[in-house]
Amino acid sequence: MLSVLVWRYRTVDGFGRKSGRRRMRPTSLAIGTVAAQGCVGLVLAASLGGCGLLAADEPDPAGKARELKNPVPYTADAVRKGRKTYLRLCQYCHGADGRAQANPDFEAPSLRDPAEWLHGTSDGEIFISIRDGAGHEMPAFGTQLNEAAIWELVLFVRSIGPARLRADTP
Amino acid sequence: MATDRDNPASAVSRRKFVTRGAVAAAVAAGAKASTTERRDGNIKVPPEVPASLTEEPRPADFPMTGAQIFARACKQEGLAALFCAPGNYVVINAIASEGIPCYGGRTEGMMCSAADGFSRVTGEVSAASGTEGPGFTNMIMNIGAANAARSPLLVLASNMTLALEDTEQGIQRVYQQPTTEGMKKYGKRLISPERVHEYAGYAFRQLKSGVPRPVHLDFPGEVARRRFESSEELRYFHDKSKYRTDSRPHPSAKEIGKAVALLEKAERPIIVASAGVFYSKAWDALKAVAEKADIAVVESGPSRGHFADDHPLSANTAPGALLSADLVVLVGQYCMPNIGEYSFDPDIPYIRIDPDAADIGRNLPIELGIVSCERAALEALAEALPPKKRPSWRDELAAARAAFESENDEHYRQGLKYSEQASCVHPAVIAKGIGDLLYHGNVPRDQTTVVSGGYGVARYTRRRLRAFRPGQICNGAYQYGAIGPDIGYTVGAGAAVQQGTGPQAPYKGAPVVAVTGDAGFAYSGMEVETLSKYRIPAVIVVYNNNAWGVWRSGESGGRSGTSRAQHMYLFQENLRYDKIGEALGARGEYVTKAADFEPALRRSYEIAATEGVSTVVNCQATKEFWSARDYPPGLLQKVEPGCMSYYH
Repeated sequence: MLSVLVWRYRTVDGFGRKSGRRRMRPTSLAIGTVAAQGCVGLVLAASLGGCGLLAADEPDPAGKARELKNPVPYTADAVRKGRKTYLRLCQYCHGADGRAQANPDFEAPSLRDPAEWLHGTSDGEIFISIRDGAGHEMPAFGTQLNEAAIWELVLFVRSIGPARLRADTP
Repeated sequence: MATDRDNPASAVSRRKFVTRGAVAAAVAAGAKASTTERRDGNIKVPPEVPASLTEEPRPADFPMTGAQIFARACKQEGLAALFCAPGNYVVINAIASEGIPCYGGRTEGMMCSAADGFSRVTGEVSAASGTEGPGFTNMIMNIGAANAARSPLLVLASNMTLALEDTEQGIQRVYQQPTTEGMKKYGKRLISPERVHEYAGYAFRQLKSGVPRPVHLDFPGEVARRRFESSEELRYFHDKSKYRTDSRPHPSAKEIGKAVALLEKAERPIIVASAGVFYSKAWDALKAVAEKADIAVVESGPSRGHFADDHPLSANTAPGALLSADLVVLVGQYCMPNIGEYSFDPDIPYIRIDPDAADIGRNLPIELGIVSCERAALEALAEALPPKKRPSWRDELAAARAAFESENDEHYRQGLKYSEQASCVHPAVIAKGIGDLLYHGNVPRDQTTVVSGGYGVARYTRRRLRAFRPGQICNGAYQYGAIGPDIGYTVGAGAAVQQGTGPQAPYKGAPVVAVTGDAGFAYSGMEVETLSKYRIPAVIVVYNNNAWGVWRSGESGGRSGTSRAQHMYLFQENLRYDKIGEALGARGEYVTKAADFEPALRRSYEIAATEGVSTVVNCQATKEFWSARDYPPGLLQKVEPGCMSYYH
């Protein structure tokens, strides 16, 4: 019964701007989130065991990362948490608005333009880039952030990127 | 009137700066590597230099030139030092005659940074001077850096004549004041000779009140060279007690009450002690506030040491605790971060204490703003706060500090491995070597003033540099992000220690240590000659990775996806910056193995301390160390505020 639950909510992008009503299909994970936000980590941990998440030192055979699904639902609260992490750890290179227009250290990609994402555009690929680093420039954040926080960060990146790539977009 | 500066070698040798154990180690290391002693015997300081440095001051009296009147005002205001390259002759000669310590270097730009560095480690007003158009415009980057650092820098430059304004007669013409727009607190082309003293007052009112920033005066010949027979010919020829005040804004009891209430409610409050704490000399009041109510303190700003790193309430080396704080008190944070730039919770409440009401509320939303001199506010808080113990907060800070040190140790272990693999020296090895020498051996840990510069190497060395007293660390690049002026800052910081100015007084004559990169050294390396000429003892560690620190962007080709641009990011490999040091009258050390770094550093420090001779320690590395993929963690991230502070 829960699997068919559909609710409407007002999406909020990473900068607090409301972007109209959207439709979201909850997964079984989302139910846990709705029930108790504090349980996200537990629900997530349970789900990761089943999705065969790549280990940090495991190579990525056949685009396994691409297949990973974000176990955290796309909610305003999750995006807000992701934004907090983003502002602490990511804006230095990617800019406060994700456009990476000022790059004193190197030419970082705009997070608003997937055409510049050299290491993949799926949730799983973004997750792996954040956790393990990407190329010479992007450092690994896996030692600073737990997996739930990284998935929330993925949601925030989605929130400032094109709407068509968001989880709630059919 | 001879001072220790006139004979620094004997001065330092009298003071046992390095204990017997370290001396023995250094001598042993020196014997093992005696071929590193390459000072060129033909390089000599001309006799005119010590002769002119020991000459008695000759303060001017009427009849006086405009330049002399200005110089006398500078002396009366306590201008602490002048750094220049020749030009603006009548002004710099008049300032030297007054007895103000003066230093002449190789470029106006780096002498401007020397003045900036001097102020950053003393808190005192210093001046830079250059000639007309070329000398003045050579200082622009350096003025920009001083402006971002909120340094009380007096920029002086000659500027042809009023009579020939707008012509191109002669050479070196430029409109100076528009050029410093946006990077100064006040500026004026002096056009009325009889107001020269009055404008000195304008300058020092700005330099000695509120939030400091550069003041720029340009002197046409009609002003500098005008001859005055008596004070009757000058307008507003008042003593400084008549043209400015030392009165400072104080907080109201109501505001302090609100701050106390917020602090009482908080469980993990933290003070960010920035430039204003240093410039208002508020370190004692800061310590009293912290200790009375167990409030953590973390530093930011262009200098460090106003809250000692070894204090149990210091969060300077506890980045992991910043996110736990639940109330931040920004004290004298002149260069303001934006949300997220400090590693606090982005939604954390802020109290801001600042002398400039117009700046409070900029960038970070505030719960409470207090317009006040930093020291006055901290003294009022120390009195008003009820004593409170926060043992769990103290424990959390201690745990975060321990975790940070463990992380540093892990970097070192990786660095040793990488050094072996790449047959050169990883920056983590350099960082640990400097830390071990300065703080964990026989050198008193509060002794050495350090210029913390460089680009990528700084991400490692900042984590190991420590400050135990005000003005011990000059944060080189700071917010302007200029990597080039490191040796300029070293001249200024070294001069401050040589003179024993302000908080450097107990360490007069001690060596200074500087960290820079191969890119940065290119901008300011000629000032090694200035260090040598004035016998300012410095140990300059050059991280030589054969490339600009931003090489990675060229390697990956950035968004264009081509590496065709890569050559623009690279230098020739294995360049010998140590030999440049030798050619300029200093020593050189060339280090290519991890194990050789600390002995070379120790040797250099010992010779600086006992002989007053500087050394350039060229550490050979490889650009690939900045790759997070090949040598993780690569170019380290920074966490601010605290010992890694760089931007704000």
